[in-house]
Amino acid sequence: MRRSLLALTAAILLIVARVPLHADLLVYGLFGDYVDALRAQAGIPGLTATIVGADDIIWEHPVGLQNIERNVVARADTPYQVDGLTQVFMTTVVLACVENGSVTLDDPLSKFNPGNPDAGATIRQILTHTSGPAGNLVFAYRPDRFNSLVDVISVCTNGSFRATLAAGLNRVAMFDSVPGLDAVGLIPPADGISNQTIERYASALQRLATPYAVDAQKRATLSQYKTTTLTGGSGLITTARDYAKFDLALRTPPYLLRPETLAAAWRPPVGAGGLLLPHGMGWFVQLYNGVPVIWQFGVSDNASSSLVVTVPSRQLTLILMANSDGLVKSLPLAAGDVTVSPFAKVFLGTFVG
Amino acid sequence: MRVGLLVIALLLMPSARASAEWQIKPFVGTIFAGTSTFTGDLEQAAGERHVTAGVSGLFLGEVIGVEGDFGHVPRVFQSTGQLVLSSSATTVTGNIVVALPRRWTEYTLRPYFVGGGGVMNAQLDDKFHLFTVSSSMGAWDLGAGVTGFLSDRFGVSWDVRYFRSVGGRDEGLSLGPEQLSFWRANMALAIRY
Repeated sequence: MRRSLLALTAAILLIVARVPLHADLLVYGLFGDYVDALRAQAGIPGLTATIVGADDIIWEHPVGLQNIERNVVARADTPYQVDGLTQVFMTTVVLACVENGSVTLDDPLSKFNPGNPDAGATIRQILTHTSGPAGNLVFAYRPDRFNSLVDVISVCTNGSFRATLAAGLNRVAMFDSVPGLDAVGLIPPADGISNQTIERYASALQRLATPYAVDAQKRATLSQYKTTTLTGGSGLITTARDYAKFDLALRTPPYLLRPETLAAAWRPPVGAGGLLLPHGMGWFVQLYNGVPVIWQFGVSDNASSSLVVTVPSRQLTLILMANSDGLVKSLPLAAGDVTVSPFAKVFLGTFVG
Repeated sequence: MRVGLLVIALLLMPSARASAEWQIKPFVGTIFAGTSTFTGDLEQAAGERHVTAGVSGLFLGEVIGVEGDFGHVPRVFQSTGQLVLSSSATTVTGNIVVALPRRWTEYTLRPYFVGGGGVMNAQLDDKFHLFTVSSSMGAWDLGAGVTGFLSDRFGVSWDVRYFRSVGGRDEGLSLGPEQLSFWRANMALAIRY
């Protein structure tokens, strides 16, 4: 009952009040207290939390250290490795290709690369992490399968995924984002990337959050990023602020994708016996107290983790990025229920009810 | 080997009915060095010191005794109280006590070892009521103490024990199975009958 009242209050404030109100600040303040507590509990050295509203960022909460040794605090514009979140960018590029008619969702991968080990799978199946015949689809979360989609991109755009993504990042003004750690080593005009862009990547990477391994006693030790290049489902480096720009570009005009395309992506596929599967195209989709929730996560063991949760009906997106695997570690998120994450649970409990 | 023989000899020693005694020990103390997997431990307070109180009842023969122990720890998951509104841990255990023979310690402190099992209940409620827990788990405890009597009836006792829950469930409100453990150090008024 009290939770419902709290959520109702938060919802009314978010809908009615366009200026910060005291009660509004109180809700965000308490939410921030929860985020701080959960960060400490998970032993995450540095975390950036951001909430995006209908047309702008409405709350930013960087906390902890992006580099312990040099005592550098995490900031709203700290770049993080976002690992599996790269999938939503790949999905956006592929769906744009579908919109312009270059490919169809039911094209098999063999059409783009006959030697692909996943050649029998369709683009739709890769995007939804499914396999098997229609009507008897089986879900298994395997982000590595997204790498097969680079062949689709090269047919659609006549360029590499990196080149396409780099252009997309510029288009959305995600100027602190880098398409893979090794992008800084490119020699222009490789992948169509200019000298100026390479310099910008180098500048962003200088501020890249340092990765840490955290033990059971919550002691953080210096680690290394295992992902050093961009693949179809991993390798993007971005900031919470930049991701917010991408999120807004998806949800507000001029849309990155047509609203009907996004709506189709955020619809769960149907498995055997009419069972709704947990992953739409590029994003997990589920209901929370009857409200659709769209989300995705990224993790690299002992290095980084990220989680993005969107509630379309509330026009809210929570973005979390961390420099350890503490946002995701030991949580069965790949099974398709975001409420196993205490961070998501607090967000949904506070703002959805 | 010699220790083993001594133990057997002590156990077999005819426990004169007159040497058996009842003790009631109301206690106050502190818990410390706790650990918890409850997500609701938002203030990370389980590892801090908290006041505890309770009572134990002991029937002690010449060497062996049985004990029932009840302990309550209010605010076990609270430090600042900013996020956790209320919390407590309660233990009820049945224990075996092995003490030095009374005749050896007539005019001095009587040491004992204690161990057993029972139940532990953990409760907490947080501000947004998102991680509310009321969980009863199995528990075991192990420790030692000393008791000294100032008169035929009254004495004092000092006791240190380790409590650990077992068999906690994983219902999404903990990092892995629910678990709570802590050390308890207490001082008791010992009343002998």
